[in-house]
Amino acid sequence: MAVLMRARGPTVLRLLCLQGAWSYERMQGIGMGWASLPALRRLFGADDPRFRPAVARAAGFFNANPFVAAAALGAELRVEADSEPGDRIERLRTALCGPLGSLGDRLYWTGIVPALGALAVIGVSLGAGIWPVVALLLIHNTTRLWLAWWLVGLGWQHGLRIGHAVNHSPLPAVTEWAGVVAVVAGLAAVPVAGVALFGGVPAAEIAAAGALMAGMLILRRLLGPRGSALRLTLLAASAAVLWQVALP
Amino acid sequence: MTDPMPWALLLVWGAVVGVDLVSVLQGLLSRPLVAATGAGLIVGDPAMGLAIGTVLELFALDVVPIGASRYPEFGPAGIAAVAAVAGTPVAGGLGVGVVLALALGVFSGRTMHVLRRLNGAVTRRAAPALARGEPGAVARVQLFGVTADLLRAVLVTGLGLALAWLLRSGVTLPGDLARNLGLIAVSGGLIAAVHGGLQRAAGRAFRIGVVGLAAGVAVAWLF
Repeated sequence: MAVLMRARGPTVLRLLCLQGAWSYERMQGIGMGWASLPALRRLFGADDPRFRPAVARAAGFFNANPFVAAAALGAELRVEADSEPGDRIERLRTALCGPLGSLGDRLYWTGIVPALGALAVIGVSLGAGIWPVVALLLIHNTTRLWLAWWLVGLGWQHGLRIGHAVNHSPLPAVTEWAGVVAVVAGLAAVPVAGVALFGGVPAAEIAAAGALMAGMLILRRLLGPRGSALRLTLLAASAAVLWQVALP
Repeated sequence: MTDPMPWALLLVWGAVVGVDLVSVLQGLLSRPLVAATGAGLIVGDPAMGLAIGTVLELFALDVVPIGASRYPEFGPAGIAAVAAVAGTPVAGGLGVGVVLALALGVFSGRTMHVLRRLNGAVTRRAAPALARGEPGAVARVQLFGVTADLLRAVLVTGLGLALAWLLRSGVTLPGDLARNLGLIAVSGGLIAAVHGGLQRAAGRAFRIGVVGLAAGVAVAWLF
């Protein structure tokens, strides 16, 4: 444990660049390998015959949500320290990709991130200026750094049983609540931002915008992913430009 | 905005925002509301930054950046949008800025795919050294990836700022076109947020989504 305590800081900092060399082949593998180096050097020393095989394993294919991958990294370092067979270590890495990906994606990409974004939109729309944006940055970055710190330690502590440890931690419950907040805030932001953004617009234009939105919703249903709001907006904007500029 | 300093600062901000999306930090600096607000502060028009950022953030609420999926990159695009219309009334510039950002965001998102393939090529070349567990090889591939993304972010931001400069230099849109683009942009953003919210609500009780909408209407009514 003392080895990891000394290396935990550099490890967590390097995890901030986990996806620095993301590719379709190894995905986060290179980033995991790079983040592992400080701890592996302290564990084995560069001249130890176990060092390079451990580096090779650490830089192999890996993909999980970047904010919770720290759990896998801590666990992998622990099993390396315990001199588990190499194929067992690789199986652990592979086994963790799916669960940590699913948990982290629900916690962050459909939970914390849209929740913070929507709450910031609400705050800005209500006239709070830049402070909701500042709050978004502070809340996200302090919690993600703390989470990485804690998960590296949890992985180191539990090693092969990291999956069980994560499942019995507060994380699954926090993930559920983050999702609820994201749904509530995300949909609450719509009328709040709508009132702020359409403020002062004549009723006739608001009615026209309403008809446009209804049309977009219908097209979205009919076209599926090809009819994203972004594409429909660009289409409508192009039509407006053509109508008023290109056509006499 | 004839002073060269804001352009340079905007380029630096765009580089930071660009690498924040995936490669370095992922501290939500790349969120469109953050990126555009930062740009607004740099150019001295925080109101425009907040307005453009708000609409783009609504679009971003419909994006789930999971794994190898492809998605637009709104950060540098939002910065370019603010640079293009800063100093104009929000009602007139918002639509132009957002539409520019949406188009740039789609293009910028595609450059991520190119970067990933480039990283893959470099990783394959280093595969023998990586298989031997050479820490130097790991560090070199990592450094290449981060540097390449930084370059990508600079190029994408530079392109956006060049378009912004062109728009500021002589393009004048009819007033009603600018207003119509604003209505279209805001409408699209609201629909994007509704769709994103409903997608997230679909996995849970739909009632939660109804509560959210009702809460929003109540807040909008009260404030």
